Amino acid sequence: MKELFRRYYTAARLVAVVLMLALLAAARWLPVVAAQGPLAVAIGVWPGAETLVMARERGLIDERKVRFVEMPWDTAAMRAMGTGAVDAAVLSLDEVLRLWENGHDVRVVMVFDRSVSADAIVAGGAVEGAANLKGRRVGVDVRGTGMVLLASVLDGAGLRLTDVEAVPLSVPEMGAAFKHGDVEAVVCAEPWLSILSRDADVRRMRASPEPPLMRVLVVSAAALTPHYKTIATLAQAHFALADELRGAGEVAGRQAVLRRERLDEKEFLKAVGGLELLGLEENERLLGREEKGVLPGMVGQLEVFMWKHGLLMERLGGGERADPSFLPRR
Amino acid sequence: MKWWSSIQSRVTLLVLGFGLAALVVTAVRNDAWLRERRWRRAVAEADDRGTLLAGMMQHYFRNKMNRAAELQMSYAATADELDQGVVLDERSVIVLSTRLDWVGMRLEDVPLADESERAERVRASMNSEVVRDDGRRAVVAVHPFFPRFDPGVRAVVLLRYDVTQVLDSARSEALRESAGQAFVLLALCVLLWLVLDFAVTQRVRSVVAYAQAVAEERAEPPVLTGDDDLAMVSREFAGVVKKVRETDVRLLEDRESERRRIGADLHDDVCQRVVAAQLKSGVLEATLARESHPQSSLARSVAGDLEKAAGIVRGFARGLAPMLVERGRLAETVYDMAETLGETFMVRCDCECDLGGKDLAVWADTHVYRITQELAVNAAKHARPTRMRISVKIEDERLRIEVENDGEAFEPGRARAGMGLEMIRQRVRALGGRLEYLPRADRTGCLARCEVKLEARHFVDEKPQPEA
Repeated sequence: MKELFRRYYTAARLVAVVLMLALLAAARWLPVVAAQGPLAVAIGVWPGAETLVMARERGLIDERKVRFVEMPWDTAAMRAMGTGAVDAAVLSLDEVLRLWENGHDVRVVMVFDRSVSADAIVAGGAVEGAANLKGRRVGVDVRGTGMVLLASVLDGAGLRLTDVEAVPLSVPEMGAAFKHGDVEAVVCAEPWLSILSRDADVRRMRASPEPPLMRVLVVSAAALTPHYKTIATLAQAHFALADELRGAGEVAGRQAVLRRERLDEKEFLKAVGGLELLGLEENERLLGREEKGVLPGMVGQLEVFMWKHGLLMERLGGGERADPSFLPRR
Repeated sequence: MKWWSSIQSRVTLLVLGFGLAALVVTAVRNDAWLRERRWRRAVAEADDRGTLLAGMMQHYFRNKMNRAAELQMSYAATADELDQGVVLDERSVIVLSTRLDWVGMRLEDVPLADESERAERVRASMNSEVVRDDGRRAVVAVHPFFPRFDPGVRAVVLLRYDVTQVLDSARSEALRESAGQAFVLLALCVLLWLVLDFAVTQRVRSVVAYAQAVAEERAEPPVLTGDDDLAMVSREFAGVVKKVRETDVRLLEDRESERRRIGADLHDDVCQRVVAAQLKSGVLEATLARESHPQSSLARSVAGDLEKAAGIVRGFARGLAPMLVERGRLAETVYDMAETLGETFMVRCDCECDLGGKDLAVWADTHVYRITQELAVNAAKHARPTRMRISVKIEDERLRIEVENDGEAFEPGRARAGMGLEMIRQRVRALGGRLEYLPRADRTGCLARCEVKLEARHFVDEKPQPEA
């Protein structure tokens, strides 16, 4: 009995020592549970992504969980994403490639649309076709989608980027620069394309074949897990309202969208008409929910194109870049 | 003893209780202090950003750099805590906003409408205002600027910061800090428990074990060493035990001396006088018989009585002072005692005394004899045996006394009662030995065994020294 007691007592001491060490370790490595802030989403002015704004206006998105950082144009959103000021952003595929090139680990979680005629080169009457751009001053956002479109259009005409004088302009500046004659053509996107066309006689030029000009929702890899539900909610809201984006008449949340886009309803519907809005099924095919997605292949082609035209400094390696897990289930 | 009733556990729990109470107070104070600090920082940052933004807006507007102003406003929106921000012209129309759809609207038409009055006041006074709204957990900063070179045209930058997350973060940090401190406190309490276990409990147990060993006459554990209180208690206790035992031994020795003196007096004086009287009575009887005196038979009777009396006195003398006045007579005395016992109690008594040729000191012989005698007499008197075995042996430097009987079974619990047994225990202690009562296989009588590890002192004929 005494031996048993002594053994127990020794075991108790051993347990006490282990407990003490465990407590000290717990005190040393106690995780900091930071208060979870909202998901910061940089959103530029782009008709295809206005579903998110409509969702906010309708209260479908909890503003305590999502904070929209509204940028006047896409490249600003890309920079915000690059500096880590936001967790997610609506960007074009070429901008995503630039982020990857700079080592930012971001994932494509949803594809909003493919631009059919919402991105275009706008020129005055003197410029009859792409071949006439040679030697002309072309206003373009040199870090944005415009350069991809310009390179593609020039490619079709047998020209190179060096055959034109690219004048760096931000998208909102293009209208004024074009009107003042500072540039003879601009590479523009909606809604600025509609605004520019509103009071000027312009010619629109597009590439053939067209590069994959898609707008996507990207999220930094670090924000994927902590904001899983919020991101899924965003995707769900987008697919729920995508059809209403094209609908005429009284649509809840539309007024806020029109004020943001600075277009009237007719202009807005026309701008949206220049987009191929990609539904859930198409997203699943692109991001590869059931089988390997086709988006990586398209991204690969775009990457090669940009690299050949000097828009990317180096080829990017492979890796998981698309994440279909946030798409709603059908 | 329940674990929580020990001093070790009570002190630990007390320290833990005080520590946790202090921790709770500190946590509450820390939380309040951190939140207040975050508030102040939020107010300072809102003031800084508002001032900066107003200055930049003044520059952009005066130089018609509207796109740059627009971009600046967008970048201001990337600040985590900025909830809403607008730039109002002289008519309170929003010209720039973190919400692009508000551009062109009046301040009264957007959720910042309740700041209209403040914006008007700032525009009128051209003094910026930064206020803290505890209810909404917000900081509102309104900074004026001149968008043109005309001092009459005034605009303001209005920023509202939501500090909910900042305050929650402060609370989380305070909580984390307190949790860390609580873990450290718990670890220290466990350490304290271990230290108390080592420094107090184990030592107290040693003192208790010592006392129990003394009470139960088992081998005593070592006395505590060190300079602390418990070591002092342990030493003092051992000292008291030693003194009590010395007194016991001294009393024993005094008693034994007295017995020996009385025995010697009986033997040397009373016995000799009785023998002399017996001889004289014999002479008287012979004289009277020669004279055919009728009283000669009376004289013979007196001589016979005196002879008996001499025998009785000699027996008393031998009992009080067995023949142990010189070394080497223990075996003889034990055999003698066994024989007497057998005759007295009418019991067959086998005796074996093998001292291996070693002679103990007289004082040790006396204790051995008395222990053997008392055990044997007790057994013969109380167990009413038919047969007894007495054995006194020295083997391998160990003295072993065994008294076995086949009488009534002995209950060890009863061994504590009685003067005789107490005397035995005193003598065993004086010898530095152990006494135990063992049951016999057939559950009759018992086997009393006393073992003594012999040391040099047991062979030295001086005053006996008790065990330390």
